[in-house]
This record gives sequence, C-alpha cells and structure tokens, in this order.
Amino acid sequence: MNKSKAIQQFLFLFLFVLLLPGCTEESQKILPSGKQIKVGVIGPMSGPDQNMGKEGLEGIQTALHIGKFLHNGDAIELLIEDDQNIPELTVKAFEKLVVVDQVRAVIFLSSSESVLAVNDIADTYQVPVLVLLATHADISKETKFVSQLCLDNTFQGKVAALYVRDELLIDQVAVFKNPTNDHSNSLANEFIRKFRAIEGEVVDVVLVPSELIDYAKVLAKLRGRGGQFLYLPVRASDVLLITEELHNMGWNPGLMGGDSLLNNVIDSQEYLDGFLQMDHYSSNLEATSLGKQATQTFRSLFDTRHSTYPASGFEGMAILRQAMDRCQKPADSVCINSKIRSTRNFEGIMGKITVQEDGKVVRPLIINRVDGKKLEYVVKVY
Amino acid sequence: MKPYVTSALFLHVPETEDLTGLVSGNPFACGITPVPLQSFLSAPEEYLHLATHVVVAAPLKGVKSVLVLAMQYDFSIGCIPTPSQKDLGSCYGLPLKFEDALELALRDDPQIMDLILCNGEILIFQATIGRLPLIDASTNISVYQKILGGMKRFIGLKLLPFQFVTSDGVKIKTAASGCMIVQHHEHSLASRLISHDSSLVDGMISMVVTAPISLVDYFRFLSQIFRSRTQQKRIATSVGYIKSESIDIETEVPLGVVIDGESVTETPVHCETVPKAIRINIGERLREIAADSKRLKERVDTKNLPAGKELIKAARQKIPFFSYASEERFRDLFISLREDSQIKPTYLVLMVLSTMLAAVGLYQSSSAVVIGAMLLAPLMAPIVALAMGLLRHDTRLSKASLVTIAVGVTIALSAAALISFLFPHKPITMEMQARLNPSILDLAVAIVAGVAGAYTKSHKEILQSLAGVSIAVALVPPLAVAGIGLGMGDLSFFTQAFLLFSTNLIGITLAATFTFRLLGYSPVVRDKKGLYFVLVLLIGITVPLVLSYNELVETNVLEKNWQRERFVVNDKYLIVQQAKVVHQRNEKILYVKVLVRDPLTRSDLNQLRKKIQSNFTDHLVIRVQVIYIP
Repeated sequence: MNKSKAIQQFLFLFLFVLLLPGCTEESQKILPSGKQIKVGVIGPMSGPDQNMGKEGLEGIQTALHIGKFLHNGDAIELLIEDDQNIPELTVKAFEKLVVVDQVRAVIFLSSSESVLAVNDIADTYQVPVLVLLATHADISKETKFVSQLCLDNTFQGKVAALYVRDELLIDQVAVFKNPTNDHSNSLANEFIRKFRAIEGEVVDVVLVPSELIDYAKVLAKLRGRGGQFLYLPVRASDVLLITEELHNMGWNPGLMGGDSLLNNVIDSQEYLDGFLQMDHYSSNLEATSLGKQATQTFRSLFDTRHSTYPASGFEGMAILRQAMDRCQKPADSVCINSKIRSTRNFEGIMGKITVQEDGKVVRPLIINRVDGKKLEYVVKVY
Repeated sequence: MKPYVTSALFLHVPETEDLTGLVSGNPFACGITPVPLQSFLSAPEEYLHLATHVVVAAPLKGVKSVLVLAMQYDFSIGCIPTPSQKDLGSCYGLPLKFEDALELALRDDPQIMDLILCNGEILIFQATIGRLPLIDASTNISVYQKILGGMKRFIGLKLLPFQFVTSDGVKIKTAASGCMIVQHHEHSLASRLISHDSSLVDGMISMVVTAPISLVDYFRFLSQIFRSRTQQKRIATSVGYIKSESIDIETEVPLGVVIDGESVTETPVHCETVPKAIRINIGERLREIAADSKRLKERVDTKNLPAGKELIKAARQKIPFFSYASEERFRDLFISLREDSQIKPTYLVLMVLSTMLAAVGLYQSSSAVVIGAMLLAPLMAPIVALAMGLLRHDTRLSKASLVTIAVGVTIALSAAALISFLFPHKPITMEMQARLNPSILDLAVAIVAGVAGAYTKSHKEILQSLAGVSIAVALVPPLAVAGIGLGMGDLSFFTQAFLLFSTNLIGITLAATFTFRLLGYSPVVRDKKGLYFVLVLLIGITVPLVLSYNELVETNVLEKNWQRERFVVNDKYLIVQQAKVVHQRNEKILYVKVLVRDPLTRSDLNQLRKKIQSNFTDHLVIRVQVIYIP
C-alpha cells in the first residue's frame, strides 16, 4: 500500500469516528401520533401583575417550541386562563380547566394568595398543579397534588439572614415589611427570626407602605440607631423611593430585596447599583446547555427581555413534559403528579432541580447584585 | 580650470539627433562635428581625422561598437547617457542630467580602463550564467518588477555542475545555481557581493558563484546583502568568489550567457580582460577609485561551494526549502551528539542519583528537591541525539540513543520503585498528584523545550541554558512517580505518570527534529521515515492528552465557580473558600475548604456531602476541611 493511500484511509477513519456521534441525534426524531393532551395555564394575563402571566407564558411557549411532542408522539395543547391574580378568579379558572376542559395538569403563574386558594381543590380533583412563581411556604403543604418549583419564603428569608450575618459580617439590620402582603410578611418574619437566632440585632422593623410615611425621617432614624443593612422584601415602587432617599441623604447601607423584586424596574433608576436580590437566575452565570438553547429560542420568538418569569415558565413546562414522558400513559394525571414529585437532578437553566416527595423543590438560590442595570451573580446557595 | 577638448565628433542615432544643436552650442569652446553613428561605424577613418575625441549618445549596443573601434583606433570617448540608461550611468559614474553629462563628456582627461570580453563580446556591467534570483536583476527596472521577476526565478531553482578554470590554471569543479561576472557597477546588488578590491583598471575579472544549499539559505544570504549598504568584506555563506585575468566557464549542458541584459552567447565561455583597452571620461568618484587601484594576485575563494561527496548529491537536484548539512561541516556537533548517545558510567550514576533525589523530593513534597533532581538528570542529551538521528536517518545514532534512553528509563523506574517499596509510609503528595494528570499543555511545554534543547545544543555559546530546558520539561520526576506507582503496585498511578513522561519524550524528540531541520542539519539525501514514526506516536499520544485537557478545563472552571458556592445545612451557613478536584486511581476526589461559624455535627457533614454530590453525575470522594470563623 502506498503512503498517500494509507494517509487517505487514516483520514477517512478519523472523520468517520468524528461524525459518529452526530448520527444518534437523527435517530431520535419523533413521529406525531395525532393525539393531544391538554395542559392548563393560569396566571395574571391582565391587571397590575400581568407581566408575571404574560412573560411566564412566553417561557412555556418557548419550551413547547423546542419540543411540542412527547416521546409517544402526543402533542401538548395549552389552555390559558387569566385570573388577574385574584384568588376568586383563580378558583373559577382552575375549576373550568379541570371540570370542563379536562386538562391533565395545571401550571400556575399566579402569586401565593391565588395559589393557596386552590390547594384543597387540587387534591379533590387529583390534578397535578405545578406552581412556578409563588413562594409562600404553605404552598404544597398538606396537599399531594401541588408542587412548587421556586424556593419558598422560609428558605429565602433564612438564607438572606445567614448571608448578611455570616458572609457580610453585619450585626445590625433594619427590616421593612408590608404586613398586608403574605409574600413580604413571610420573608421579613423568617429573616428577623433567623437573624436574631444567630445573634444579630434587628434595630427596627418599618411597616410599608403607608401614605404618610416620611422615608427621609425614617431612614435618618435608622441611621442614628446604627443600622448597617436594610432588608427590603417590599414592592419595587417602595424600594425605588427608599433608594432615592438614601441617595439624597448620602447614606450607603447594604440593601437586599425579595426574589425577582427588581425584574421590571431595574432600568428605571440609577441608584440601585449594589442592591442584592435573590433569584434562581443571573445575567452572568453560565447557563446549562438546555439554558442556552432556551435563551436562543426565546430570543428568536419574542422581543421581551429574558427574565425570571419566562425562565421559570420554560423550566416548569420542561419538567412537566419530562414527567409526562416518564409515564406509561402520559395523560394519566396521578402518574404525572407522582413523576413530578420524583424529578431528580433535572438540568434546569442554571443548575439542577430536584422536586421532593412533599412537593418542595431543591435547587440553588442565587444572590445577585445590581451592577450597571444588570443582575450580576454573587453567590449560589444550596 | 578643467581642460576641455577643442574638437570632437558627436555620434548620434535618430533618437538622439535632436541633441546635436545643444552639443554643438556647448559653452566649452569645443568644435563639434555631428556624425550619424551608423556612418561612423561603417567608415571611421573618414571622420577620425577631424577629431580624436568622440562623444556618443546611443543605445548600449552602439556604445559597445564604439568601444571596439576605440580599442582599434585609440580615440578617447565621452558618453551622454539617455535618462533610461541608468546602468551605463552607474557603470561609468556619469551624471544623468544632460548639461552635466555633456560637461564630463567634453573633458580632455580620459581615464585608461580595462575591458572584459566574453567569447569576443564586450561586457560593460555584468554577465550571468544560470540563475541568481533577485541579484541578477537589472537596475533599470522597478523594485516591484525586481521582486516579482526574482520570485519567479526561485521556482525550480537547481544546482548545476560547473567547471571554472582561471588564468593560472586553477580548476574548480562545483555545483552552483549560477555565476555572475561583475564589472564595477555602483548601486547594483551584485556589486555588493564582490570584495572591495574590484576595480576598472586592475586587469582582472571578478566573478561571483552562488550555490545555496536551500531556499532558506538563499533568503538568509539575500537578507545579508540587503542589510549591508556597503560591499561585503567577507564572502557570504554559499557564495564563491574568483578573481583572475581570464576565466573559462564550462557546464555539462550549454547554458545561455546573458551579457548586460542580452543573451548573446552560451557556455563554454572564455572571459578575459583586455588591460588598458580604452580611454573614457568617467565620474570623479570612479576616477579616485581607479587612481588607488593596483594590480592584484589571482584570488580563488570557493570553500563555501559544494565539493567532494556533496557535489555528487547536490548537482542537478532542486534546491530544497530547508538546508542540509554534511557531517564534515558540523563535525564538533556530531561528535558531541554521538557521545551523548552512548551509555557511560556517569550517565548511569546520574540517572540513579537523580531518580532517588526526585523520589525522595516527591515523598517530601519538596519542589526544591525535585528541581534539584531535574538538574541532575542526564536524559535530555540522548533525546536530542535521537532527534538528530531520526532527522538524518542515522540508524546508528538513533539506535544508540534509544538504547541509552531505554536503559535510563529502566533504571529510573527500578530505583523509584525500590524506594517506594522500602518506604514504610506511602503518602500521595501534591508533587506526585501534579504529575498524574498530563494534558495537551504538557505536550506544548515539551515541544517548546524540544526546540530550545536543539537550539541550545547547536550553539555552543549558550550550552549552559540546557539546564533551564531540563527544568522546564522535567523528565525524571514523572519517571520517578511512575516508578513509585510500580512500587505501590498501582497500575493507574504508573500509567498516568508514564503518559506524562512519554508526552515529554515524544514532544521533545519531534520538536528537536524539526528545529534541527530548520537550522539546516538535514542530510544531503533526506529520508522522512524517522519523522513519520515520531509523528504517528505524537498523534497517538495527543488523543488522551486532549481528553485530559478538556477534563482539566472543566476542573478549572469547576474550581473557580465553586469559590462562589454556599451551602445551608441544618440552618448553618457554609462558605466554600477553595475547591480542588484530583483524579486518582480511577477516583475523582473533591477537596473542599469551607468556612463556618457554628460547629458542624456528623449529620451536618452528611447533608453537606449529599448536597455536593447532587451537583455531580459521577460518584465523588468528598474531603472537607472545615475552618471555624469567630
């Protein structure tokens, strides 16, 4: 055999080995069966919280765009209901979807109050409910059919306290809370409990919003009492007033808010730099391969800024589809529920997600810092 | 006041006829008789009674015809070059501005000068036989044309058999790409080649012979010429120089002889000087040179031209891109390499000592001791010798080097294994672990070290740098680790460390082989078998190294990211300060250093282990170092 022939054969073999992995992708093509499985989506598609619903839905649609069909060829059909984040409307929407439309699972993009309203009914109808954005600790409590994909307020409040005390080494904090809002109240209470338990001092608890509140006066008082850090699990509008006043007074304490707090207002003020916020995602944390695919597809489909809501929607739909695929009968609601609750190390957008048998999620919590109107990752907490 | 001739003939051609008025009305009180050149050439006697000085404004061929008649009738000559006749201007130092040229042409102080005839043809500037790309270019063309034309002439450049015989009867047989007879010619590249003793009145012919052994060599030689603004004092490498009253040039097949840009005859050619042949008005600078010149002895400087065995190999072959060399040229280097390839008692003793030192240093985890062992290690020398053996297809040198390396490796493995066997405790230190994960980066180090090793070896004055090369590539420590692996009976340990040693060995050998080739140590007759063999080995070893590199990148990313990982276990906050992944005995070990305020219980650690493990798909051995912070 001459030399050039030997080299040609070697190159051919080499190319063959290189191309071999590509062949397996092709063999996984799914043939549609012609059947459809209905999945309900409930969220605020109108009203003041419509961002949650609309953007979350875009995430769900992104997941379906990447893979509309289950492994057996069945297609997923979405039925969308707007609850405006009002618990009464949520219950009505849920009953319609389950009883009239006979959906096999429901994805929730609503807040905690709305989701808590359907906790009991879900068990009655035995339809799996996947909660993507609500963080109240009682969601999934005493129910076998509601699973929560975001870390609850208890964990978030606890981590916030530990981070401030053990990582930032801060002894004295002031906490702002809105007693009429479950989300704010539970985050603040857990933070206060844990911070005190680890020998930190809460110098004051400020209740917001109050129409008569004079932030200049309140903040001056806190400064005088030695507050080094302000924990702010309140509405974004309150945070903007506070940060503006802090800027006016020339005081620069550490600041931390609740989860996804600044998602829609991050561009609106320049005094937010350094503000800490909890999330499941970050602008500068490297995404998993699924995460990269999701971002790319989302950008090709929508003009919306990719934030926490669409990311949560995408992960929720992907986990639900995986659960359906793992059932022998993908339309079997009981099976879907059990498979959701046995999701182990699902490769999410920025880390692994495990759903426990009690419906609670195990996933990393990310502490971000606002830096130049972006959320930059500081630490990841497991 | 300068003397001017009182009368002169003005020889013109139709193109220069319009100068007649200007020449006739010259301000030097010289009576001019205009004569068409053709009329003068056909009957010179008819005009020479009118004047004994002739001013000529004509193409080169016409000027040459006038020179022939000048020899015969002994009249003096003045030239007025046209703006396109830069060559002529350069050769006789003539100004190109008409008024200045006329002033010089009408002077009455001609310089007696020699003429060169080749097969009876007058040579004014230069004659070329064969090819001398870029050097033989005319000065009348642009730089761009010179480079383009020169590059074309590189294609298929060959060394051809030549024979030169001087007037003293010296016979030179050689192979050359070409040769060039150079008359004094300022501003030409060719004139920079000839020694400063060239002259127009020394009765000698100066000839340059080029015999580049490679294109690289030729480029080097050209760069020397371009860099040098003045004439070369020394004969450049690959160039021969002959200065004689006459030179006979013979070639195996007839080659065209290009005289002053025109192919007028072919080899064999007899070139001779006609001393004091003509009287011509020349520039001031040239006149000073002519005044200083004296008759010199014949000079034959051909030691840089192929001769003997080399001649047989080189003749009629295309000039290779890289240089080749005969052992005779680099005798000292080859003697040294042959010595390096031999097994000597000092080599054996140093091998044992360096391995023992390395093994102890590895157990101590002492970088200083390990570096000491690297310095002692004598392995680099036979590897470099092996590279040369492979390049030159010198089976004896290659075999001897391979045997020496193999013996050295066996000694190192045995010594390290024995030490490991004798040591009661066998800790796996960080120094050892550092040699268990070779990657493509190690191959890069070996390649650079191989280049440095070969370069150092071929330059005596920097030989002391070889120690630095030995430290950079560290041959003995991986061998010692492999030996320790053998002593512990751990095959994976042995394999990983030996892979690193093999990487170094192959990387150095290949890089050194190429370096020697670039430096011009290829044999006259090349054989690529050895090189192919090392290349195949290199490809073979690259696969695991690339995989290992990918793993290394992943590990580095993980280690970097993990510095921002935090764990909450049973309400206790754990800050990861440092994380390190080590691959050992088919296990992945994650070393984590955590900071914590509260005491950790077994349950806390167990939960931490589970949380860490959940981040990995494959099983991990997790080692946690806890640092309590107040």
